[in-house]
This record gives sequence, C-alpha cells and structure tokens, in this order.
Amino acid sequence: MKSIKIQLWYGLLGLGILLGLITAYRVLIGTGFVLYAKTDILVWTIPIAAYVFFSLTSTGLAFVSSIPVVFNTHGYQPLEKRTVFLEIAVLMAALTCLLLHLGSPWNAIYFLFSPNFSSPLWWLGMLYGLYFIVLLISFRRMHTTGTSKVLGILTFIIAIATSTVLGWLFGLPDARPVFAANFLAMYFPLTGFASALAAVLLFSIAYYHFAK
Amino acid sequence: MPKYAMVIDLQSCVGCGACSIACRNENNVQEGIYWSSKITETSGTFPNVRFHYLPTLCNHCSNPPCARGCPTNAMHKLDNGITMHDPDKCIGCRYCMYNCPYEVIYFNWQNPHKFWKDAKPVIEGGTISPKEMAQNINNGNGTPYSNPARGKTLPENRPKGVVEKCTFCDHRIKDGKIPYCVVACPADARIFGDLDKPDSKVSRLLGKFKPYRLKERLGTQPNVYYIRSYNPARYERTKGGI
Repeated sequence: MKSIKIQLWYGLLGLGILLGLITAYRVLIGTGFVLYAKTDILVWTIPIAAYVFFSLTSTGLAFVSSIPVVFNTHGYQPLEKRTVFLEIAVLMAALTCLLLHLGSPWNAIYFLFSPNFSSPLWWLGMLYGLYFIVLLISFRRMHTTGTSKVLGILTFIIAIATSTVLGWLFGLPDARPVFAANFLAMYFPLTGFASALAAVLLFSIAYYHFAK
Repeated sequence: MPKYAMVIDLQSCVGCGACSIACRNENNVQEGIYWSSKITETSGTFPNVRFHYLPTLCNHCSNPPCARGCPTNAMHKLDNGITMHDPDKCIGCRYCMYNCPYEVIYFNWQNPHKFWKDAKPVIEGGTISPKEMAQNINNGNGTPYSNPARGKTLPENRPKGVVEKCTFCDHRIKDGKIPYCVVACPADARIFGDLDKPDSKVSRLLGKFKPYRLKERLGTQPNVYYIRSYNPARYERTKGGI
C-alpha cells in the first residue's frame, strides 16, 4: 500500500509534467518564445539552463561509468548498467529542453548538409549524436554479450570532448565579457562529474526505496 | 568582387531616426526588432554636458563572429562583403546573437506583426479591425504597408523561430540601388559604397577623415565607419591657468 507521502510526491511530479506540457504548447503553438522572459540581450533562457544541466550530468555519468570499465576499479561494477541507462534517460531530458529552446529545430538536417567546422555548436551537435549512438550500442551489448571495454573508452573520450566543447561554446566568445571564461572548459567536466555522482546516489536510493 | 561598406558622418547626423523608420518600412521589420538602431549618450555634469547620437546597424564585419559560430552556415558572408542570413537553414539556436558584440541580430520570438492579426476593432462599431484591414489590403500577409520587394532574397515577413538582421538591403543592391536608410537620410549622413574601388565616395572619405569603428579591439573588422563628430558648443579662447 502506497503511503500518503508517496502519493503526494507523485501528484507533485504529475503537476510539474502537466505544467511543462502546457508551457510547451503555449511556446510552440500559442504565444511564442516570449514566454521565456525574453530580452534581446539575454537570449539563452530557462531551456538552455536546463539543457546544460542535463547534458553535463549525462557526460558526468559517462565519467562515472568509466570508473569500472576504463579504470578497472572492480568494486564499481554493479553501477554499470544503471549508469548507462541513466545516461540515456538524462540525454533524452537534455534533448527535450533543446527542442523547447530551438526556434526551428526541423532545419537541423542542415547540420549534415551545410556544416560549419568553426562553430562549437556544430561540433556539439555531432558529438552528442555520436555519443547517443554509442550509448545505445553499449546498453544493448551490456544485456547481450557483456560490457565492451572499447565502447567504454570511446564513451569516456566523447564525454571529455563534449563537456570541453561546451566550455568553448560558452567561454571563448569575446562578445560577452560576463560569460567569457577560459576555465569553463575545465569547470564543466568537473561539475558534470559532481552532478552525475549526485544523480547516481539519488536514483540508487529511489530504486531501493521503491523496490522494497 | 565589391566590398561594400558604409561611412556615417556624425557631423551631418542630427539624430532624426529617419534611417530607422525607413529601414522598418523597406524590410517589413516587426515590432521589437530594430535592424537600424542607435546609441545615445549624455556625458558630463551640468553645465558642461554633451550628447552623442550614434546610428547603428549590422557592421557586416569582415571577420564575423556570428557567421563563425553558426552551426548550419545560415549566417554567412556573401562575395560582396555582406553578412547575409538564410532562414531556410536557421535552427533558431541564437548562437549568432550570443556571439555578436554589437547586439544587432534579433530573434523572432513570436509570429510577426501581432497587431495586424488582432480581430478586435480599435473602437467597437466605429473602426475596422486591424486583421480585416490587413486582409482587405494585403490578403493578411503581414502589414497593409508591406513591401513585396523584400521577398526577393528573404521571406517578406520572417517566421517565428528564426533570426534576422540588417542585410545592407541586398535586394536593392541586386537592382543597382543603395540601401534604403542611405536614401532616406535627409542630411546625407550615410554614405554607401565599395571599398575596393579607390575612387568611390567611401574610400575617399576614409582617406580624408580619421574614422573609427565600434569595438575595434575585438578584431571583428567591422565595415561601418564613423567619421567626424557633432558638437555645436563653443568656448572663449583661453590658455587655461594654474
């Protein structure tokens, strides 16, 4: 029998999802992107803040899952499947935030037909696409033939690349002295790792709580 | 290939804003977006004060951070030096806006010309509604005073979800005409031309007067130059004192 507290919590989560769906409708079909408290100076608003959180947590989870696979720390083996699953789930959350942020996401096909190699955003798009494919293959292999060390190392390298490229994206443009910070390329992987540890702890506790 | 640039004479400019109004008209710019804008500044303490009016627009930089950062090359340089935007490739990420140090790129946060889609009359039973007027005059395509010539190289009214900015009226340049803000300036303070021609007016003016450009130290190499300065104040001849 579920306790009142759990039902209230589910209710709260459901309300959050409902509010999110209503906002998504209002932004994409109704009023428009003005709902993000836009100004022409602060052009990257709430969805991007959420996107950065989720994408860095996902790459941080890649670092966590690389502890047993890449660095051969055998005590962390049980975390493997859970962490990879979390990576995929959190990356889906990041993609949802991105779809709410982009004005015309259907033109993303031009990432392939009209690439700009000097743009960090292009590199980020390609790296995250590759990351997602490698994760899916990794996750499937884990359930069939077992963990692949090669895929683990590849995931680890891509995770380093994506978090540092995100640092390039935010930190290196000269136009915004407030954001411009060369250390972001170091800061993002480290904070991603911290978020990932928190995520693993949170979901492990939640799992054992609900599995009882 | 030409290298188009603009010289703005601040001695002639009176700050009337005709350039900005003309630009909105020519390019069907919607509310909240300002392809041609201004920087105004009041400095000093009374009675020793001064006022500056600086007309601004996209600088069409030779080293454009917006085009460098655009992932799909929607923001790109044309052969004639104009930094052009292609809304068909634009994903609306606003990274060009993030990169631009001059804040001259604008995003279409909502469907354009919201006022002209309003079906409520201004005075009930007295006036027509904006939607009906737009429908009668222009088939509901933006504003009743929409300029169809803009549709040559960009959509007449850019849709929600893409960015837009000054294009040096590239649709007019194709027909051998100068940008509309230059035409509209009553003081002839805006001069347009080809920097690659040594005898063009812009080349001559840049030789005659020391120009400055906005945020030159960032290395964007803007192509909008400002010459001279306006100050009607006089002071009695003096050698100062100790």
